[in-house]
Amino acid sequence: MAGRIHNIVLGLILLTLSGVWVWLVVDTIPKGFGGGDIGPRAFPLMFGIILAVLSALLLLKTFMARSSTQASDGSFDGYLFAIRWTPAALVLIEIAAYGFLLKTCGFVIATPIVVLFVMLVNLRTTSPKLLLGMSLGVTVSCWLIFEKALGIYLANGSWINLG
Amino acid sequence: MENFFSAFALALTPMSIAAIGLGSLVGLIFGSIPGLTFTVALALALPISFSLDTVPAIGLLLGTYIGGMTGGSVSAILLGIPGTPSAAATVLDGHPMTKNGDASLALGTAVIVSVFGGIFSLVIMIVSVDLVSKVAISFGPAEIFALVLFGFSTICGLCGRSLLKGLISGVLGLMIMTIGLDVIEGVPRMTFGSINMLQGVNLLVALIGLFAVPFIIEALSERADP
Repeated sequence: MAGRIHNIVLGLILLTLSGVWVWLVVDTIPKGFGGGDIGPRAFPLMFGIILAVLSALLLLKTFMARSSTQASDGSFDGYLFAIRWTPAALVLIEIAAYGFLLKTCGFVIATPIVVLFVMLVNLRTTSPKLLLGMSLGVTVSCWLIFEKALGIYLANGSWINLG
Repeated sequence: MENFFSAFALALTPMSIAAIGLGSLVGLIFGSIPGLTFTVALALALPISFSLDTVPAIGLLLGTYIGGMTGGSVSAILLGIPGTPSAAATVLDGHPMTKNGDASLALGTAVIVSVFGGIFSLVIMIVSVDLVSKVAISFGPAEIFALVLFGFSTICGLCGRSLLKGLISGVLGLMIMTIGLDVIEGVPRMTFGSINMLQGVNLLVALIGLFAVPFIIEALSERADP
């Protein structure tokens, strides 16, 4: 059953997230200067633990629920509602890469690279005209509208900067 | 009441109407683009307002604000990405209508409802501003705590079939809101040395991420597996 698989994956991701969160909270946030129970660490730690408990409950509830692998019409829900791992992973990588490139190379260099990558990998566009037109068109039009016309500062790179 | 009518007459001068129209248009454009909020539009309109008379200047700023708030529903309906935090609920009804080919109906409804909502809240404000100001002044920590508790209790009503998932969403929201500078002791929390993170996660940025990323993944999946 697709809902069951989704819940297990969700529960495991949230449990991992809560573990990483609690570890980061304990490792990076001090207890506080007052010496009392409630300091800057208290609430993030509490929320992390609550999330871990709720995720464990979700997993437990899912495992205890009646397992059914086939839908009433005979088709596998798991096939119909498959988790889209590849697009999800690609989008997350692209967002992270765009953030890194914005910081290091600035908007003018980062944007055409990411647009080009998305069109090539995600959209599987092969036309050179379209690739060049979209990547340069989006960058130049955004740069002209925001940076030049509206005076909104776009990201400047710490390594290279063309904007 | 006399003051109200004299202010109404001032607001109906051609210059004021032009300023309101311009402000609404600019606000609508900014509100429609996810990430560009009415706050940015207001920041840009502010220097222009210095060169205007008092009434058209206020009209320009008000028009920008209201246009921006309404514009948030445009991207919410067409793209499934709220342009303003208040347009988050519009995504739930408006975007499915776009998928069904009723985008114009959804946009029209959103604009008409925004007009009625704006006028209604304006009337309520005029009538009850004295009372509301007294309540606002007496709003202390206990009242804020009660309001937060009320917010939590609404999770139970809004989470649909799974209370557990609703609670998880609520806790995730609380976790995101703890990021930034601790207001009591001034300790940075989960900022990883970034100065930008000291102010915490902006609500609109979080909303755009939450609504836009699944939409993009879904769109790319459909493109990859036609």
